[in-house]
Amino acid sequence: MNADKSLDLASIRDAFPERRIVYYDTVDSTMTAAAGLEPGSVVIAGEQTAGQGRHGHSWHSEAGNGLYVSLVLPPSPVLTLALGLATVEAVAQTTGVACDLRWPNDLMIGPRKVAGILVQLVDGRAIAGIGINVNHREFSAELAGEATSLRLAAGGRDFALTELVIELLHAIERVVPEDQETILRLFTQSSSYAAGRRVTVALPDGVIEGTTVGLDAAGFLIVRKDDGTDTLILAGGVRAARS
Amino acid sequence: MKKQDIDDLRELIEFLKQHQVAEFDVDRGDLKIRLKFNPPESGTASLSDLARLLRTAPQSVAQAAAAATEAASGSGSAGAAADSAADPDAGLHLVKSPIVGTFYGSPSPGAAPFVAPGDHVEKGQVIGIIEAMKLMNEIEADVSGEVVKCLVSNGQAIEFGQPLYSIRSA
Repeated sequence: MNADKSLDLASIRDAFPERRIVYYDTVDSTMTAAAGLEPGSVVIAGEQTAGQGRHGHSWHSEAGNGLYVSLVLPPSPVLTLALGLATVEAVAQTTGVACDLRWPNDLMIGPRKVAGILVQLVDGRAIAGIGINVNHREFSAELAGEATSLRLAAGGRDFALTELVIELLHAIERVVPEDQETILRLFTQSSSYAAGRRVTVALPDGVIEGTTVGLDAAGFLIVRKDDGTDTLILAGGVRAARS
Repeated sequence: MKKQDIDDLRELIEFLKQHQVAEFDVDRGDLKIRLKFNPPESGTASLSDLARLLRTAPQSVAQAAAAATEAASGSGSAGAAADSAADPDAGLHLVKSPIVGTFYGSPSPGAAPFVAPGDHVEKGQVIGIIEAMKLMNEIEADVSGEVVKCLVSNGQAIEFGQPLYSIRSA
């Protein structure tokens, strides 16, 4: 297995001649760097000093071990679900590691998160940020319970980032244009969280617990509480309930 | 009556006028409100809009409305009082949500809000975020002017087209 951790930018640009591909060794956040670029542009960073997660959360970005990519796309319904599916597909293709999807688009290996996706809609363009923990050998005690890497999941194999980027962009080009119904169906097939999963959800007025019973037509998650009432989950904050 | 209650009442009346609601009745135990608008035009507000407003309207709106109705009872129709009470806020611009999602009034939890009532905003300035499935949609002021009120609370579930802020355009 090619364990080269450096990115072969020329190969990536050859594979996607129509895309503008920008690379930074270190950048505050690929999201900020991608803002203002034309649709189709891709920003890749070796390291982020201020990686962004959902609503103020940070994303742990380690030099050389992770893949940090932001993409400028036209907005589309259920885009965030489609990006999760594409990332699962690309990871499986290039590493053989099978990931679960925690609604809406966290890539999970068992109880731990291995990749996260965030989309910002700015000036009519969607900026999609995808962070994948690839070759991390360990995580801090603080993160070890909730984060893992593809390397840790694959018994210590290192993976080439170049191949993963190329496959990721191909997968996005395949999945994102699919119609909404197809994306929802694929998501339901690929995610153990879509139905029959015991979860807790952090909502503004407190945490609710219940069982997932599928997605509504717009892609929002339906959680049925034990009293039989359904709650439509609009944002994130879904966690597997401790049994 | 507190200023907040008057503001809430104005907002309710503005909503009813905007949707050309001819009559509005609330009966909650000891609280009864009736507002009539003239001339009565065909009511175009959808039931779901009205139901949502009632669900989200704080109790003080209803109380304020009741107080206004009582105050008006001695001096003519409630409709006339409602019209005059609404005048100061008539013509306020409403910034509405383009999507269904969760509203955030600040860039991150604990951070200062994007804007507060009384702030001047420029057209295009980010004044909130609506999140749907980890898609963060920045809400921009679509007019320049003074923020009069944030009509929703942090973390609240927002429907398509729901008013988020009222702005007195400059």
